[in-house]
Amino acid sequence: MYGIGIDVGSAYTKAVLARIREDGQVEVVVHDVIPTKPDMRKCVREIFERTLKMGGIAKEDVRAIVGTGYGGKIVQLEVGGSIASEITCHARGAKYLFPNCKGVIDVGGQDAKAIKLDDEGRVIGFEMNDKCAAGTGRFLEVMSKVLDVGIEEFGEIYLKTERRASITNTCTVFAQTEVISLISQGVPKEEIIAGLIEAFASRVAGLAKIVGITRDVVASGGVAKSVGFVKALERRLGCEIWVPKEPIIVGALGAALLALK
Amino acid sequence: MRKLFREMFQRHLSRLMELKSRGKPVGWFWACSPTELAYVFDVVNVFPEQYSAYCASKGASDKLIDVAIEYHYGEFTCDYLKCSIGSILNSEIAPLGGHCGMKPDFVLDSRMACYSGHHAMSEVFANLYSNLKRFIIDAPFWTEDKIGKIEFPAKKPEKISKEDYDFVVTQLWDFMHFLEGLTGEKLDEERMKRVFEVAEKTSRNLIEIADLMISKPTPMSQMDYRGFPLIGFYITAADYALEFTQEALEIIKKRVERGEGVAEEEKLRLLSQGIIPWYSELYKYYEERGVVFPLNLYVEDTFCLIESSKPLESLVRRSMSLWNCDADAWIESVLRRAKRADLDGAILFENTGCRLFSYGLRRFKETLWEGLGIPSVIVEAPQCDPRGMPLERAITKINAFIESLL
Repeated sequence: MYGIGIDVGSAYTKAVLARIREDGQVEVVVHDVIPTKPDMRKCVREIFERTLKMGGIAKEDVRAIVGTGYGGKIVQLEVGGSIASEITCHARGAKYLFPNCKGVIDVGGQDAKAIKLDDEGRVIGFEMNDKCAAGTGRFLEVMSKVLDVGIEEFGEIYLKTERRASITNTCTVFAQTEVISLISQGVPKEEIIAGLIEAFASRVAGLAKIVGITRDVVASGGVAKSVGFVKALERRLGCEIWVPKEPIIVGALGAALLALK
Repeated sequence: MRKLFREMFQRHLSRLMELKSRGKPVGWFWACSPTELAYVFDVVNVFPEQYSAYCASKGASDKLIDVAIEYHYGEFTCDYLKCSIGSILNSEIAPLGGHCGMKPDFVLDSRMACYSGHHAMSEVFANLYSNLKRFIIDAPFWTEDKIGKIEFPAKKPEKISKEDYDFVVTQLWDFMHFLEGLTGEKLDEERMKRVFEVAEKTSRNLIEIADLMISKPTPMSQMDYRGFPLIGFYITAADYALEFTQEALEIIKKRVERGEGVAEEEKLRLLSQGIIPWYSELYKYYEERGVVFPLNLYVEDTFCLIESSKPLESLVRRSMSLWNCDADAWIESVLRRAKRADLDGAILFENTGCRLFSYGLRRFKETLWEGLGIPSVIVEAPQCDPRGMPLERAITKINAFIESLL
């Protein structure tokens, strides 16, 4: 019995195919990640068909499909199934990967969320950024372009740099102006990047603190791949943060688990 | 219900026009102020806050807000102020001819609900309209030592300290003298009695409707209930409001008797608190999905039991809204009510267009959780500016909250 979860984010569309084995255990069969394109219906269809092909199954073998992310509705329109919120899906996915997980911090392309779980993995509180892109992947993308440094290099640079430029954490556009000003003042790019990661982490940690996440935390979303960000967040929260091997698919995984439920 | 409400509103507008044509003075009144007295003296009663809510529900508030901002009124000031100012400064784009519906001869500058905004807004209006008369009524911020515990939504306190009572009542008499001077008519005590008798019946109907709302299943949509603040705050003394509430009460009673609910199948029962984002149809969206709202504290906070045998005391009690009372005084009553409503959760609207409302929300969220184990979600929602509330984000947040409850 198979279930598919598809998470349509602003930057990437992710899919997970999972199944219930004969011994009753859930197993992830395959996963896939493709860039989200303006024609999202086509994008959903593409990842759905690719996932079926990678899993070596037909559509008829799939018991249920769950869409999530800001394009969750498109999943429902294009390939059927139901919709679940990203918060529920990230919580499910994180709990599956780390059974002792009590909190999830998800930083995606355009939003950030902090989710608190009870012992059974139920969501008992959450916060998300409301209207501002500060504290989201978009913030780092914008800064990467301004600094002409690859986003994937930010983490390592942060870890190696002791001095950190002071940068606002309230607005991506204003922070961009600040960065340009710092460059013109001759502040080394490394210090600016380290300052950006600090500002970014403080914004995200703020969400986690509102919810009351203090331990057993899982980071999900594409930004969790940045070791520097995770380290900065650990310092802010005063606890170790667990990072899955593929943090970007946690939401899709949770959706697949819901499909199997 | 909506048809009845529209008819009532039309009758209200007709009354205003008729009085205006007879040369009666136009007064602007704020929430929780003694609007019953407008009916005693045949004053044309206009409500800038209600007008702003009306504009938002008609999709006209954003343009009015922009006008105010263009005139350097800060983006973070009260949404009602910005809408009102927009309707004054550019009446051509404003509904009902702008000027909050009608240019004022006086403003009742009261501090009976919003202890920061109403006074400052009256000051602004006085600057925008030369010759605008202002009458200021002040009420204390009601603490537990002054009133003991207070019953919600009737606003019946255990006591009222004599000093504070006299302080407000003296001003109410002065206001009546002010209206005598303005209208050239002496206070007609028989008329006052009749006006307060109507207000008493209306207010009792409202409180009974609030009690019926917590029945299972929830008998009325919030899309209907959200119109009730117009009655609770401003027109309890109007015969058309009494007729509307009587008809509404009968409809709701029958629905309760027949076990008819707003949703086909009630999945979750939520409390709603905070000023409603007037431009949105969030309630409709959720009620269609089985999520109902048997308790709307914002709507019910506009109610107040008016007693015709104690008219002035009733007007003093009008100022005992949740915003103008120490939470220690009302929380027990509100929690009792929430318990009766058998709630699963709460949606708390953080009104960026009204700081007064936003300040207490986090504490209220904690109290609901600690007192009754009711979880809440706080959603940022300026009451009149749809651009400040990305609807998809709000729905994502509320949906996640709902999923966590199911």
